[in-house]
Amino acid sequence: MSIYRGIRKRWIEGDYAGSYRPGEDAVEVRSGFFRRYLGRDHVRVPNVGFRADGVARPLIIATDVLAGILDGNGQQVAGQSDGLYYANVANAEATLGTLSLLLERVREDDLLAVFPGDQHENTSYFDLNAMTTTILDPDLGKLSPGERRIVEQRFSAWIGKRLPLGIWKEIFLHQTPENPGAALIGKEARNFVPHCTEGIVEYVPDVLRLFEAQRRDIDAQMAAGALVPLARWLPVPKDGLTVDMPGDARGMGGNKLDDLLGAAFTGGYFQGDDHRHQKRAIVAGACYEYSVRLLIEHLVDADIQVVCMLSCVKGLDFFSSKLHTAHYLKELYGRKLVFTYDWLEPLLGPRPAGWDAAVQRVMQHDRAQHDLFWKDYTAQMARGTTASGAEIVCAGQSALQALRVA
Amino acid sequence: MPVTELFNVATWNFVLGERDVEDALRDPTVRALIVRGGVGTVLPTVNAVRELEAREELRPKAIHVPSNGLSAALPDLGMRVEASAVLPRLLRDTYGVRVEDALPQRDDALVVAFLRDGGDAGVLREASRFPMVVGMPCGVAPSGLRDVARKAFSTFRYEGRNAFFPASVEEAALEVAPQHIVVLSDDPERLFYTAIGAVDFFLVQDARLRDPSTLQLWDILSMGAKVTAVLLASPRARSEVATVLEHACTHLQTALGVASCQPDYEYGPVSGHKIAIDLR
Repeated sequence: MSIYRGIRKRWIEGDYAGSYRPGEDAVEVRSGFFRRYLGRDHVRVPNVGFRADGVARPLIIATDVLAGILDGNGQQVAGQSDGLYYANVANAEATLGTLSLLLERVREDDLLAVFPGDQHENTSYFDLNAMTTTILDPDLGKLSPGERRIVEQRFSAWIGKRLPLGIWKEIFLHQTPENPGAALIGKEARNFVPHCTEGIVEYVPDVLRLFEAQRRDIDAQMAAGALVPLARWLPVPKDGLTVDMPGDARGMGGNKLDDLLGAAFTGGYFQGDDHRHQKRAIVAGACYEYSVRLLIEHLVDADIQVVCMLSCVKGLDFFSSKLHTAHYLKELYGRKLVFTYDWLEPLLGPRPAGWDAAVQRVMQHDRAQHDLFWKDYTAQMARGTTASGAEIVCAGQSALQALRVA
Repeated sequence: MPVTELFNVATWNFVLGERDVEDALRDPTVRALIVRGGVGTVLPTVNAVRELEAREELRPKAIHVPSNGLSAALPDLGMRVEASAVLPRLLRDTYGVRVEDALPQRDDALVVAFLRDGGDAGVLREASRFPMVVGMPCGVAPSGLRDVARKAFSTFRYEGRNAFFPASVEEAALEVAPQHIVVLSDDPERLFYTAIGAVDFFLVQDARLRDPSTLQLWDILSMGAKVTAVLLASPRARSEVATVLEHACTHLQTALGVASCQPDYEYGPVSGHKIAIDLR
């Protein structure tokens, strides 16, 4: 029986995580994506655990720590990992040094860590013979004139039937400025730029080393007979800005991020006025203005105290500033959110050698970036446009044109 | 005053998917369920209620299955058979599941091995040529099974009878997208309920393309034909002979904790592929 008689909600305290079976050391979570990096799909995930002084260890969530390989002209090398951490470009990533120190502590201290990573649609993975969810409606009046012509000329035999992808593509995709080849491309490539492509994108080496160590440990557990081994370092796929990916119509699949959050703060206690503050997540990764920001908001929604380690977060320098976004988020979520460049020893243990120098580089970079940004930003606000010259607030015809209504 | 919920369903999965049933199990004012329908459907329905109660840590409801509310076109409920023959017979007659002694000669199957003690290591090694999901209730594989588990597509631990009840097994099956599922077990009850879970898996896939309430008997049998059940156990000594109905009632009361199978003429049989659940 639910403790709440209204519509079901995910994060009601006392009805989420908890201490189901005292003494049980972990929660089972299954994801096909685990197999790619850990060798197994079904693992037991322990809670974050506590330090000797009773302080809960933090959950580490580093999102989109994915490698990008650029050539000498700063262009993505075709066929190579197309993430957004450019480790092969000298001095390009001030935050990789600090992130590396954080991940080393994850390894040394067995901290529970989750690594969400974009896995956007790969054109070559589409199966043209597979069935779509679209049945071609006998009322052809619902189609555009162009679509109707294609159906009448080539696909009239498919009217009233479920369309295979190859025919769906022929009817519904045309040459457009965003897609000149009328190809099956993902929403990310269509709306933004091609990046983080499934099957091509790869985590940065520091994360891959963690997964490799995890895989060896899992192998050892399986050799000892464990059917569902314990795992602390977990890859999570996602497909867009939001970090959680829900299951299908039956609630199956999904990216299991919320299950991992549940596991992280199960047992303990992590609930009630004397314990709630122990639900802490340290957030790192890229890109700060997109996935990191949405991750922060998701965690705040989940009633988790968020520590955003600005020292380990990559921002997009083209049009934003970490400090400006920090101000915006702090205004909104001040009670649940802490920004810091610092290494918080009570949570993370002793400050690692080299941290101070590494974090100074990040802070200098961020301050310089903020100064540049602020000058542009105030000018843009005065003009009422974005960095690309688009109107910030549209009215009348320009709003309708943007919506393709006019 | 009892409230009757009538479900036009093929197997337990659709009953359990009904929010009404789940809510009834959570409702403390509902003290008892009376379940009626085809015997091959009532058994997995009652088992599903028990598995849900265990998973959700709900207080178990008293369940009554009036023997006069059990029906079957096949097998004849009055037919006298050995106890060990009842569950395989129900699998064959109700669902069209192939009950075999050996692995099928095909290469497009998923094997779900749900073992109590480990079973026949030779057959399991042979089954390793298929994608395989291996589970046991204790979560620790005996030494003879460890290599099989390490090579398996997925592994699980589960204390219930139907391996498809935990979402992890169904998810693994979805990933494989098999044309056929072979269920292996060294325990006749796990074999029976997991084989029906496998039929349900195919029914759920089919339900994406058509309304499951429109399914005819031959549709269900064709789904069942996609499942092979193999018992990994040495032949037992002769077991008690009784009617199918008597064996079913014994199983309901001893294995599934049904409070009573006494006939109750307040309730009549249900026609077609229907399950009637009265809430009291």
